[in-house]
Amino acid sequence: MSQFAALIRKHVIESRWLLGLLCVAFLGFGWLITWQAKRFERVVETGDLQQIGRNIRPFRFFGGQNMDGSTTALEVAWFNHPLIVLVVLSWAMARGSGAVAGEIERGTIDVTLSRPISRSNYLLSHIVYTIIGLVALLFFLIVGIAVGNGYWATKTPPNPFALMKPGLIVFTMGLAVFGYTLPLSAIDVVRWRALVVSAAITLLGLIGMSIAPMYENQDWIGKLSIFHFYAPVTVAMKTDPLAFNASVLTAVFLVGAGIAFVLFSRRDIPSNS
Amino acid sequence: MIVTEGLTKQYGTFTAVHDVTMEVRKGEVFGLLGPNGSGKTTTIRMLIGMLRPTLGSATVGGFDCWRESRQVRELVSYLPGELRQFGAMTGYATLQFLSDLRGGECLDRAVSIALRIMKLELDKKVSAYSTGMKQKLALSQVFADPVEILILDEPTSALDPSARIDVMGLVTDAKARGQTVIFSGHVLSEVEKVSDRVAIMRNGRLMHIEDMHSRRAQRMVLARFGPGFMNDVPGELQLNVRDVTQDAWLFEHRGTLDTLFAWLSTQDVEAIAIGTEDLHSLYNQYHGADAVDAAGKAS
Repeated sequence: MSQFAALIRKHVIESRWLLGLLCVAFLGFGWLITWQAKRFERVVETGDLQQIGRNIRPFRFFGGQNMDGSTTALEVAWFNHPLIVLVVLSWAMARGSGAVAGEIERGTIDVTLSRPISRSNYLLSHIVYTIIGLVALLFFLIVGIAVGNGYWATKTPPNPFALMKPGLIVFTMGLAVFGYTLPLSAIDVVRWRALVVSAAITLLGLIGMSIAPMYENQDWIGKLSIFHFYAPVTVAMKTDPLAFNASVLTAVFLVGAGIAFVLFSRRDIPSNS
Repeated sequence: MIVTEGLTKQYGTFTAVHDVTMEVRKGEVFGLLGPNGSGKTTTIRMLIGMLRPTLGSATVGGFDCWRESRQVRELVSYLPGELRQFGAMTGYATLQFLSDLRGGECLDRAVSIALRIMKLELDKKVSAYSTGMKQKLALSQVFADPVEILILDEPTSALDPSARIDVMGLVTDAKARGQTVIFSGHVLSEVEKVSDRVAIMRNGRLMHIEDMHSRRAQRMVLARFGPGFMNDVPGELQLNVRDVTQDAWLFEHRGTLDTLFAWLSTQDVEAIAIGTEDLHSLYNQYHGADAVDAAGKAS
């Protein structure tokens, strides 16, 4: 087995239970999303406007005021649900903070880097595994939705490939958060600090997005947040440009990863004693 | 094989290693002695490219330890002093992982050492291992690696007495195979037993390098002489006076026993004891109560 494959296998062994549980949760959540969509479609069929008005609230809450009533929009609206957002953010922050600072803190980086591996390959293995994790999460979410659509026989079930567009936005948001967590980890010796700073940046982004619409001419604050580019519903409805949003989020990741490579290649690795 | 020149590591105003210049020869066991904080681990970590020297340079097999650290680590297998393992892996998976990071060819030998010598259960999770078992697992891998140099930072610190003996045996085997070994430790008797040369560090400075072969060839002769003793020791005896207390004389002897006994038979000897000197007395010169380091600081 190659050095790189051995590193990936090590990451898998260390987090297989966590990733496995999250994937199962996403599979179940995907199925649940379709049940919600079907339930709403049944209410719409009754023509009871009062019932429709009451039942559309959670969809509007997650999907925004401009979403249409298509099955795709009804399902993708749930991509803004805290369960999905928090799991993706947590995975990105946990992997980023653990890549260097976490391994220094628990002392295992000595065991790995005393072997003939370049630091860049070591860091790259963490990046690749984080991407594998994000892809796995989204795969199970989309599979859950596809299975649920079949089971509940929703009106116009979206093609699984159509779900990949909002899925790509979820994926690139995870990448972006991982991207700015990684350099914090690359210069630190304890995981909690990288995690706290990364969480603070993420929280500021969320707050910025929330308060920007409240003030006139201050919408630029919201545009600084990565969440400005996290728009799965509008991307699915093709009212927001997927390529632009995904590119911006990917660029945040690439810049962060580039800085992390430079910092990690130049830093001392202290013993954990 | 390993050369350092003016190797220095500073953290702000604190100097962890100061101007260390030494050479470790191919095939020798080089002991590194000193108390905690004397700079042993920092020196070692600079050798394997974990730390960047502030000043000076270090090379291993001709490769610069910082700029070409990957090539250095091709030549070196390192046992960290503060060892941590991957708790989620089994013992076997750990050996497989570490072997794969070096091409995978040393797995069988590592497993063999772990099972036969270290008596480990490799199907157990490492998280269920004791500290000593984790150290044995890492030692199994280090001694199995097909490398030219072994760097062992306190390899016996967590081991029971019988495992310590096994490790000493593995170090001797490594030397017999032609591997160069740097052996850092606190247990003087262990370092003394296996080392060809011993370096003593203090406060980040290299205080002394002792050739153990020459030291082992040296005898200590303690003699009490009667009134007929002629204080004229012939130079060819290689008998040097270390200390004199009333009528008791302590000599260092490097010559042959025949000539020593022949000379003693001509003297008025009342009592005599001949022995060897362990590392303690040398170590105490640098770390005893009255020791003063190169910078003039008392211990």
